[in-house]
This record gives sequence, C-alpha cells and structure tokens, in this order.
Amino acid sequence: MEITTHESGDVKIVRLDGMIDGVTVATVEKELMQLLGDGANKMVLNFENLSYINSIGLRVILVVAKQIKRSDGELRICSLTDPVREVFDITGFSSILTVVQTEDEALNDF
Amino acid sequence: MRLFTKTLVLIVILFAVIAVTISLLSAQILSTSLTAEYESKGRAIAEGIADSSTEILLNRNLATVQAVIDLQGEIDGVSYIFVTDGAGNMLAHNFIPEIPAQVLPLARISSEGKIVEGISMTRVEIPGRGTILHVHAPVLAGLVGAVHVGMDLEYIENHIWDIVVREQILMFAIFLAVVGIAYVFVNRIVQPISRLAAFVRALATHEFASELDISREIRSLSQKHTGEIRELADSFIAMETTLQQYLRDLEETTSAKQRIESELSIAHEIQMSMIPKIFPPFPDRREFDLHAKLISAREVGGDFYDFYFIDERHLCFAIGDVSGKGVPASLFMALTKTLFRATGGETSRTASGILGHLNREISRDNDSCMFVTAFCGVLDTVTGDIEYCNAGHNQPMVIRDGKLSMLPKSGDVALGVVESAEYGSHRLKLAPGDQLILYTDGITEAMDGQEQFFSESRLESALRELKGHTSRIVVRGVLESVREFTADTPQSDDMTILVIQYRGPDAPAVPTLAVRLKNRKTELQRFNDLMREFGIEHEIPEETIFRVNLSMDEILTNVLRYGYQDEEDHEISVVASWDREWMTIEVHDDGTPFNPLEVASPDTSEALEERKIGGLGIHIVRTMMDEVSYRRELDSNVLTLKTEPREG
Repeated sequence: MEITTHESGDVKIVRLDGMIDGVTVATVEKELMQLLGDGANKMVLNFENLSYINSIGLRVILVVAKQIKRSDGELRICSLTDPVREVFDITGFSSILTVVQTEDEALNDF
Repeated sequence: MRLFTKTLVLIVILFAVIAVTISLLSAQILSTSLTAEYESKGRAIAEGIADSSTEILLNRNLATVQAVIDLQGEIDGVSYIFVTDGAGNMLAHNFIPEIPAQVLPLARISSEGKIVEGISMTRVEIPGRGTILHVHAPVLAGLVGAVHVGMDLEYIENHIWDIVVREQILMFAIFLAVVGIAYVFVNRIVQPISRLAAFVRALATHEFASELDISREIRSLSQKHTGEIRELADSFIAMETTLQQYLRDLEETTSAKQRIESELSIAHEIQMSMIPKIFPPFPDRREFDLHAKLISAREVGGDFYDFYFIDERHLCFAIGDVSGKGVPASLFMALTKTLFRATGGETSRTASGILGHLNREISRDNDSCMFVTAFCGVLDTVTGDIEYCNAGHNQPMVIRDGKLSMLPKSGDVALGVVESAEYGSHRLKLAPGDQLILYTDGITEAMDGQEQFFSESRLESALRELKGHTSRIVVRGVLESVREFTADTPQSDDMTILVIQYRGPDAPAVPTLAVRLKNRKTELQRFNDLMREFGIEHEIPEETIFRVNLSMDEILTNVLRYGYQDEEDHEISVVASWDREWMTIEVHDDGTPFNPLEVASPDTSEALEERKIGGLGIHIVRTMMDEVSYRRELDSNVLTLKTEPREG
C-alpha cells in the first residue's frame, strides 16, 4: 500500500495505490486523518491504482467524507478501477459521494 | 344548529317584535282615548260644580260649596277641586293639609291652554301629585268666580301600564301555546328526516351480515308517511337491499375465485414437490452432468421429470407430459412419477420394460382416459451406452461430436392408451462430451404474440449456440431463448427441459482448495493469495476471484472480530471448489453462534449525513455471492457461499 500526496492550489490530491484491506486500512486512516487534522478540506482521492477495498476501507472513506462535509469542504474520488467501482455501486457509495472519471475532471472548478 | 332550533329562534324574535309593536300602539291609542275621556270628565265635574254653585257663590254660602267639593273630590282620578272668587281668591278647596304653592298662580289663569266652551284646560306639574290636567271653569263668565278641578294624569298612566302588562302576559301565553303546537308539528316533519340520516350513517358502517335495527323503523316510516318522506324511506330501503345483494354476489364470486386459485396452487405444489430440484443431483458422480428445469404454467399442466440410479452403474431418467391441465393432470402426474420410481430396478432394468410396466399399470383402471407421453432412458455410466424407449413423446435431440441431431421416431403409443401395447427398446451411444436433450411440447409449442410456435427449428438453433456448454448453461440458455421469443405472452403450458452430458468414466474431479486458517489477521492475506493462485491455475475469471476474496475478507474479519471471546488459538476451515460454473465455498468456524443472514442490510440509498457506519460487510457478501446459506452444526458455524462468473 503506497500513499502519495501532492497539491494543486488548495486541493490535496491523494493517490492510494495497492489494496485497502484489514491490514493496510490502519495506515490509510492515519494518513487521511493527518491531512484533515492539518486543515485540508478540499480533497481528491485518486483510486487509479487501487485494486481492492473492503468494508473496513469503506468505513474510513465514509468517516473522511463526513468530516470534510462538516467543515464545509468537499471530497471527490476519481479513476475507480472496475472491482472498486462494483463495491462502490453495491454499497450505494457511488451515489452519496462525488465520483468522477479522471483526476482532471475532479480538479475542474474545485 | 338543528333545523328545529333555528326555526324556533326565528319565531321568538318575530313574535317579540310584533308583541312590542302592538303594545306600543295600543298604549298610544289607550292613552289618547283615556285622556280625551278624562278631559271631558274633568270638564263635566267642573261645569257641574260651576252650574250648581252659581247661587251658592252669589250668596257666599261657602259651607255648601265645601260640601259639594268634598263630594265631587271622591270621584276616581280627581286630584283636587277648588273654587275662587272673581278676583281669584281661594273660597273653598279640598287640599289636605294645605294648598301647594304651585296651585296659587293657577287660580288666576283663565284664558290659557285648550279652551272648550269657555272652559280652559292646561297640564301642570305639581310636586307630590305628578302631572295634573287642570280644568278651569268660570262661573258666570268669571264674574262670580271659577271652579278648578285637577285630574290626576298619573292615574291614567298607571292604568295604561297595567293594561299593557296584562296584554303582554296574555300574548306570551298565546305564544307558548303556538310554539307548543308548532313543536309538535315541526317534529312530525323533522323526526323522519333525522331518522333517515341516522339510517344512512348506520348503513355506512354496516357489514350487512344481519339486518340493521333501524331498518325496521325506516320501513314503518314508509308506511306512516306520505309524500317526500315516504319516497325517501322507500328508496333508502331499496338501496340497503341492493347493497346487500351486491355484497353477497361479490362474496360468492370472490370465494369461487379463491377456490380456483387455491386449487391451481395445490396442483402446482403437487407437481413441484414430486420432482427433484437440487443440482447437481449426485455431486460425487463425475461420469455425467445432469440438469433439468420445469416451469409450470399458471394453469398447470402435468409435466414431470425424474432420475435415479438403478444400481451403482446405471442411471435411469425420464421426462413426461400428462394430457390435460390442473389438479387432475397433476394428480395423474404424481401417480405416473411414483410408478416410475417403483418400477426401475425392482420390476425392470430396461427403459422399454419400465415403460411397458408403467403402461399396464396406468391403463388398467384408467376411467378418466388420461394418457402420458414419456421418454425413458437408462445410461451405462461406464460405457456411455443408453438404452431408451419413447412412448409418444417429443423426439429428444442429441449433440454428438459437436453435431446436433434428433433421435429417430420410434412409433410407440403414449402410456395409458392401449393396455396391451408393446414398447420397443432402442440404443444410443454417447462419447464423453456428448449431450442428450429431453424436453416437453411446452418448449416447442411456446407461443409468441403472433401465435407462432417456438418450434423444433428454433430449439435447434438455440442448442447450436449453446454447444460446448455444461448442462446447466444449456438448460438456462434454452429457457432464456424461449422467454425472449414469447416476450409478454402468458405461458399456456408447462415447460420442461432435461439435459444429460456424458463425461466418461475418467472425468477429472472438481478442483478443490482446502485451507485451515488460524484466528490471526494476517491469515486473510494468506487466503487471498492462495485463492488468487487457485484462480489462475484453473482459469477462473478474475472478477469471480475478486468477489470471492472480498466476500471471504468480510466473513473472516467478522469471525475474527466477534467470533471469539477468549485469547485461545482457533481454526477456521475453508473449502472452495470450482466445477467450471460454480464456485462453492464452505466456511467452518467454532466461534459463538452467529447467522450473518439475520443482519439487516444497510439502507444504501441514505444520504451521506445519515449513512451509518456498519452492516456493510454482510451486505457486500450477500450482493457479491449468488447464494449464501448458514447452518449451525454441532459447535460450528457453517456458512456456504456459491457464485458463478458474471458477464461484463
């Protein structure tokens, strides 16, 4: 699991490469909470190289989304792989979160 | 407010206005006439005294004057009388005890006020005596003196009031009498109407099981009254009767309909309970792959299929279609199927023998003249040889060496027609991979909107497209083609299809992955990796492996989290098998009893703010897998997951 962060203006772009499962979820949660703690409230999660996510991983995404919403910010998720998209679809996450095709689209008028 | 009360209030107001107006008018008239009378009375008294006292006055016999005054003063309404001389000096009077100061100026007045024949009349206010009509009658044109009479006007007023009050009392009494009569009269009109209203209210909540108490009342209303009330009552009674009749009719039709529906569902249940529905039927037999499906029509025909081993080596199978529909057909089907089960192996070991025996049994007491078309076969699982017999049934199709053909007609008659009929025996050899397809006419005679049959040729082309697939896929594929063809047209007959593929005696066993996991988090990753390797090795689609791994991740996470209350080591056993179509996984854990299927699914349509955290894992498993079942076995939870590759 590799997490890389860069910025575009005041938007934090986080690339999550690998798998979010029971083992790696702790790292992901720690990393994202750190960013929120530093005051980030505009965030793009790039799932281009994320091949797997389980319900524990979804829980972390939900917590992050709720927290950003509470601070009047916005979370966008882009470039879902097919398996992850399927999980997002069956759990209803595709409809409650802003999910777009590409990173460019995600950054568009953020 | 009710109609009656309204009317009453209106009448009271009208009456009050009339009563007061009449009283005022009569008081006015009375007052005028009484005053006139008073005036003439006063004048008469004054004139009388004046006439009679001329002499007396001339002689100055005052004692006589006083006597006259006292006498006249006794008359009702006379307040006072006094006599003056020509200069206006008081000669005699009946004032007691003394003359009021206001009277003195009157003694001199002679020509004021209303003058009639020399007598003047004025109204004056005298304290203690009220309003007085003062009559002044001069004696000998006033030379000798004058007589003064004061008439008490208050007496008149009192009199008038007395009369007005009496009048009012009388009128009120009359009014009460009138209202009483009106009440009785109005009641006679209103009472039936309010009873009719009560009847309608009662009718609205009535269930018509029994007659309403009020109905009798309404009926008597119709007899007692005439005109509108009778018309209303009559039509209300008619309405009740019509409603009762309507409801009775409705109840009858509904129960008749329910009876038919329940008979149909009984027929359906009989039919479905008779046929084997679990596939694969013999999981440990690799030599063949059998799948079948019966879809009953709404009206239920008498289709059936069945299969069983006569001995270790020979599989007997059959498909059939009973003539007719509904309960009779399904009962006959049950009989035929039961006989089929009892005959094979016991009475006969060949298809022709079995059908021959079946025919004799069915024909013997076949009063209802029903018959059954059937195809029966016996497969030698070692050689692939099939001995078969066809009793008037649709010709099965066979896919041999990749070529589709129809089995030749055998010319044997349907079961139950001729008791003495002989049934011929035929042979067919299947090589590993060959498939035999049995079906009923519900398939080939399924109709589309233009009343065209699905037909053998469409069945053939559907089968050609399904070449190379397992029996289960072929069954599903054919039924899908039929459904596509018929579209919305209701199914009129049962549809049954049975497919057997011979695999040969050396068919490979189903690939299996058996893993024993410890209750550690890191074991999830290990299972995940093993499953991925298993998938690559057996060419299982990647998406299937992904769904299996995600589901297993959720299940094992749950077991690790909630299954164990102690710190001991536990073992979770997972057995996964892949039969080229289905991935079947069985998970055994010795944790606390927990049935994940009892967990409610989260509402996945909830907005972000309302979305709860939790319950997602089980939801993912249930959606990712095609079948999930749970059972508690001794000290273990056993969860079985099944899934097949999904397209796209």
